[in-house]
Amino acid sequence: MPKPSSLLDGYQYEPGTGRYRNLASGRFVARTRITDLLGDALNANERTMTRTATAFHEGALDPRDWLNSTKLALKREYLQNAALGAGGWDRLTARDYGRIGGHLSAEYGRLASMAEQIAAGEVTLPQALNRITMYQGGARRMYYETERENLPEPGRGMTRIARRILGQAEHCFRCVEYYDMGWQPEGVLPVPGAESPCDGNCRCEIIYRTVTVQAADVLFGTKG
Amino acid sequence: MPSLTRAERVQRLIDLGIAPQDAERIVTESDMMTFINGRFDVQQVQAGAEITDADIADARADWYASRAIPRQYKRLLDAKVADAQA
Repeated sequence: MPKPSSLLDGYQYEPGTGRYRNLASGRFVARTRITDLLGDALNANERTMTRTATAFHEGALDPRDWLNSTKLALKREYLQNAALGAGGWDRLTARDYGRIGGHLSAEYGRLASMAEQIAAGEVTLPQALNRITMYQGGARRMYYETERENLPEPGRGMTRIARRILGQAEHCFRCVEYYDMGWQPEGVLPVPGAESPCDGNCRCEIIYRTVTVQAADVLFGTKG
Repeated sequence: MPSLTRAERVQRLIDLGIAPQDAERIVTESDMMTFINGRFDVQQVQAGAEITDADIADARADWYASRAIPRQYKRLLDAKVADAQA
């Protein structure tokens, strides 16, 4: 029986492949589509956070209201991005909750400090907006961390390799180095946003490929 | 900043793109929070960092409501695990 057009598409997550499958079409959702969703959602939230930060900086918003609106937006982003990387809400574990809560606790502290500095006139608007971008980067990193933790075991004789892809951003020297390293054994390259000076401003991606051990030897160091 | 009424604060948040129900919630939470001599109480600020089932439900609802998420992908995060269904 054909699916009524009013119904939303359903999905299945396959831990063995680490991919989502559209139940109606039977097709896998391309990982690029997943990372596009990640980017689109973060961009939309960043626009709102930019507006509220600007209003707060201009004295048009109560410091507490700005702080709580930003906290709420960040918590939602962290959770959504973690779920996206894990394979859906059902796959988030108590360990994930603890990890996300730990990140948020630190971010909330930084937000409060920033709010105090803005209220005291110690932070310019461009500085404030740059920090907002960095907080978004922390939420973005959550996707990549959770995804990495949920990648399936490579089969016998197979291995997983990873490669850094530069995104649309002003790149720090470290990210360019990671890109220039080409394909590397999994675990060598950090997830985007980690271990680089650009920190939360990083807009790189990391891609994975599962190949035979012999093929990996050929690919290491290349970008092919 | 001139003192604003609760309704004015809610309206400002809505004008900045915050959903009305979220704006109400934010102002309610703010009213329970202190900001004295330009300082927050760090314990108050960090109290909401832990993740609860209510937070998951809230983030899930927000994903559905987000204009950035195309209709086709609204149920993506509700995916069921394939192995469990086999």
